[in-house]
Amino acid sequence: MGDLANTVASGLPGAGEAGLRATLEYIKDGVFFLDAKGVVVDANAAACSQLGRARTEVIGAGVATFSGRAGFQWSSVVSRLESEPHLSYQTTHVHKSGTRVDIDLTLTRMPTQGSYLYVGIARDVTERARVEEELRQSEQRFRTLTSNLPDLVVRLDREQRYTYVNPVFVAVSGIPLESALGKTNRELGLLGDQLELWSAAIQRVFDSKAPTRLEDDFKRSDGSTITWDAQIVPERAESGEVDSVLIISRDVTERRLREEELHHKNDELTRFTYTVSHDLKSPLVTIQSFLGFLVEDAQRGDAERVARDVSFIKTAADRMAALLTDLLQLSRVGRKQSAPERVPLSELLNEALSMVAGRIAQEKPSIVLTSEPVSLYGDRLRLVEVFQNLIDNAVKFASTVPAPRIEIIAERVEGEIVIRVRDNGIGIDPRHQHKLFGLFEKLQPEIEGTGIGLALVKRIIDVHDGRIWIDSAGPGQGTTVSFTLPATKREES
Amino acid sequence: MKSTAAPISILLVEDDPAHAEIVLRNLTKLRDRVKCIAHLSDGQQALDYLQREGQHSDPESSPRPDLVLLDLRLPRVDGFEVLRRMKATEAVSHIPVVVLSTSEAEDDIAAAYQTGACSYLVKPAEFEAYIELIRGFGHYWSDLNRFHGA
Repeated sequence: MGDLANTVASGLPGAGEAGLRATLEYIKDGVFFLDAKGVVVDANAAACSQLGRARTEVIGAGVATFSGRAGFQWSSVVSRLESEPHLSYQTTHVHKSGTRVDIDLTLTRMPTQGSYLYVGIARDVTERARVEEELRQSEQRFRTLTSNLPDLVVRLDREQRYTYVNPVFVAVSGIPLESALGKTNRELGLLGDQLELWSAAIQRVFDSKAPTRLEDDFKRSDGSTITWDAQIVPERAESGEVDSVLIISRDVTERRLREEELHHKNDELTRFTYTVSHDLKSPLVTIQSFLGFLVEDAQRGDAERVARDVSFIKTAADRMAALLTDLLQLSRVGRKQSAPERVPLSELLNEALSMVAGRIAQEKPSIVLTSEPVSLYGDRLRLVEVFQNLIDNAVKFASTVPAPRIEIIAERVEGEIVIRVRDNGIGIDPRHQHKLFGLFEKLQPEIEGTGIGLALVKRIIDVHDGRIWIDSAGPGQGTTVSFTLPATKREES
Repeated sequence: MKSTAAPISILLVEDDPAHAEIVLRNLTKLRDRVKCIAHLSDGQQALDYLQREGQHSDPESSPRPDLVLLDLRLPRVDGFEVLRRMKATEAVSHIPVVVLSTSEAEDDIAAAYQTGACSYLVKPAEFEAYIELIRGFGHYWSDLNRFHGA
């Protein structure tokens, strides 16, 4: 052991020289003793280990030899220690292998024999620095990830205050980042049951340390509804306690709408199948029963009854054929048949009128068209079918009044074309109007037809992204069937 | 109060003229036991008749039937709705209703009984089915009469 170290050791009260030196060897931090010129006069085992050098290589070397800092000047350390008792900073030492060792260094000056002895205590913080760097990088990756996700990501602390919100949150809520951080949901304006629901779900995750899932609707700033499917995930600290939760929410508005649509279609299909099976069975029942009567009546030789039985059988068979033809027609509507085109309303009407010419000639209604020149955009044949059915219905319904009159009105209303087919006929009780678009629904059993016409029309309008409805003040008040079609750009001109 | 000797009066609610004729021909064979007092072809008319509204407001021309034969698929107001409203109307809730339907679906049969139907006949019902039915309702009425001490 060097003389200077002996001097230090002997200067400390209550510690023997050997004991103190041994203590230094056990210390985990590197301890350097330097003279005024910055030359190492002694160093403990930890100091030598940090530098990867033998004690003999360390003692006698200038401190600049191991300093990892470019332009290191021992003289500046000396001058700073003239005014400050300690000097602490982070720096690096260079290991013999050339690798750098991150250290927290504390330098102290002690007077000794008319000069000064400098003591450096170097704590190896390479591991801490590595962990910190990893954390920094991990946080960076988290932010890069969450900033680029289409999902809404937020983090809340135990007080349920936002500690992180990603750009999706800012974009959707309209709340700037700086206004959101540090705030609770209540402070951000969430109210009532919804606030309760979320607070409870988040608290449950903190308490149970298990993730949970929540689907909920929110109002957007434009008033529309957005549905979020949120995963609330616990984030555990090293202690194992949950000190924050991450909420990752996916916008499932579109999916929800599709699900509802599918549900609706399914119901429609169920109703359709039910109706078809019933209505197709109906003529079969007639045929079966009257075949039984026919045999009995033939055995009795009752020719009049036989003729009547045959007539019922024939009517039922014809009806069955008509139902099947109509069903086939209905099933074709959804299929793409011909490319949509722009057709002037007058052309569609002329084609439709020529198809119901027979009934018109018979009932002789007056037909009036009130319209600016408009064109409709869609499948030409289907649009003709719409008018054919509506005009045919109107003529049938108006046939009961002395001066049947049918009016066709077309107008543009807020980006749509609204078309009305109005008659002055028997009208419809408002109580039954909702049933009219159902398959095989006939409100007037005495009026001919299979009851498929309006179902077909509705299906065509649906396929063309339009709406259809019926107005009638009641029996005897006439009926108006109205429908819309979107007025596309191509419709203009 | 009804006597068991008198024929059972029936209201037939059926929109299909062929199906109505089938029922009526079967009932004709039972003419000593039953009498069809009215045949209506839609649900609204049936309700008006039973509740004595509109053109059926006169009790003389619209006597209450002992039994209703009711088709399920009817224009305007369907059979289920007629049944539901009958059961909710005190004056007619006790009148037994036999449902006539082309459907053999369990759901329909269960729904009909749940809504208050007394029996369910799947079309085409054989003549024997009507005999069974009328016999059953003969008992119903005689039991009801005894209960009321007639």
